[in-house]
Amino acid sequence: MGVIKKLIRQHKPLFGVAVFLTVASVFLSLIWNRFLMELLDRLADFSAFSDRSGAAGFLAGGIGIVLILAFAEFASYCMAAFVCESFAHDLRMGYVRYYVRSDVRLLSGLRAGEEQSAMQNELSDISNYFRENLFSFLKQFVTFAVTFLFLLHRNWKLTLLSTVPVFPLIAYCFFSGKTIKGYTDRCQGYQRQINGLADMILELFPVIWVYDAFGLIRDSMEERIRNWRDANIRKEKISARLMSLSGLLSFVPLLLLLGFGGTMTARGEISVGTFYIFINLSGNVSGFLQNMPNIYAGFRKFEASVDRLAGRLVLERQGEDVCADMRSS
Amino acid sequence: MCRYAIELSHISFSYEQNKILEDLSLKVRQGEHVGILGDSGCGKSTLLKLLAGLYEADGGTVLIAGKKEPRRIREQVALVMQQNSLFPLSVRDNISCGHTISEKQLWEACEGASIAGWIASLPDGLDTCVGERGNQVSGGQAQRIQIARAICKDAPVILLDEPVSALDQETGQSVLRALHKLTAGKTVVHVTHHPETLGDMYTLYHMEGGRLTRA
Repeated sequence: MGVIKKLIRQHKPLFGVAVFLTVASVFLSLIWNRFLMELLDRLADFSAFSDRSGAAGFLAGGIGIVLILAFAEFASYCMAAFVCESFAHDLRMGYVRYYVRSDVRLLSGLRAGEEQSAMQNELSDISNYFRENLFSFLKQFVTFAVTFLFLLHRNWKLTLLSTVPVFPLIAYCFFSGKTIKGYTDRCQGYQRQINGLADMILELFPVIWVYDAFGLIRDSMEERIRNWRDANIRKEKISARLMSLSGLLSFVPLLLLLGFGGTMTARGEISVGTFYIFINLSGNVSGFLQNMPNIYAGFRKFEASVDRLAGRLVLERQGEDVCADMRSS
Repeated sequence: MCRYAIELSHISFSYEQNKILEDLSLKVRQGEHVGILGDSGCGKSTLLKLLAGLYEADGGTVLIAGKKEPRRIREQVALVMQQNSLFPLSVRDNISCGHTISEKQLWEACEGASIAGWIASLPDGLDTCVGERGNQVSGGQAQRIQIARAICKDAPVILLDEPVSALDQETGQSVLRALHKLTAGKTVVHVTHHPETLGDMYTLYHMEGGRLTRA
């Protein structure tokens, strides 16, 4: 992951602002939920809005929170997209720089088609991951941590009730993520074999023609495509099984929360607003944990792509070349 | 039976506007060995591809063992190229090229190419995979596999495109010895930068400006 650290270091101010905006939008969202809780509690207590000027001030505060939240969300998305695109651009340039500065002997031994295909696949995988996941996961993680502490502060019993059943799921998710990664690697291996054979066909066309080896190449390509297809089907089947069970189990915390939280509200132990906020926000905590297989599998795939690319990147910083082969870090 | 194994008459060939061969004629008798020397880019490899039936000449006639049609020409020739000319498949597939060849014939070809001992020592024998770009075998072994492939085809004309140029001297010499067995009694066209790799029996031609001159 040395490449990512290096990219972050290269864009420290931008990355810092993007992280700040992401965290700010999480806090503002929590403040908005806190406002809704207050609103529900006031509505439940009919006398709360008897003072008209107090009510107007309260509602104006709510509108203010929504406006600031909307602005923070907008700024956070824009900044995140800009940072991700900057990272992707640096990766593309780093890849090009590696070849421009490589030894001619090394270059002459490469297969252009295979290299180009690897570059396109790996870079698009990494760029897509940046765009879709980097700040999204950061936001999910911050939301999880902040919401958990907030809920714990509101009612620790209900918080633990809705969270503890999720922990066995984490172990399950870890296992399933690892399994999916193995299958994904196998698929990528077969894809590389197909690319290699396609490249070889161009290079060895004289041999194929003179020795009439068309049948051999066709059979070999068919076998590789079959292996790739079977590996993909196996991967999808296993992923679907593991994910569907995870989805089923994910309802358990919500059912517990509804049962116990509803009873506590009926008994008057917690207010309607508190019950609402638990139902509304507990998903941020349990959802993050339950989403771990996806996050983990996606991250492992991304990590594998970055590792494969790491040795072929030259990232430049203030006139200095830094070869980003940092698999060990 | 034709007197000449190879007859090229007034051949011309261009890559788009770039003329490579111009009014080139060559006659090679049955069993004759011809060496073609010349600088890089002079058209040696293009000539070899014409002889192999891989390209069609823009003008003139190409006759190989009396055959004119490219598909028929390809049946009459065997080709040994530079390194990295192996399929990423087994030794067996690389020699047989997917054709049905008996185990006995395969081992005879391996004997002829002096790789039978090495293949027999491999755990999977003929079914050993040579890896992507033949990276599981050495340069010399890769060339010998190509020679075994050519022996199996048993074509009357053998075309050699710098078969030892990428090898060190010692390995090159042992591959040349295997090549002598392959080329015995056959018509040979050997394209190279290095005249020292050609034996005394070769008639040498020099290629320059798209034409051949007797060296």
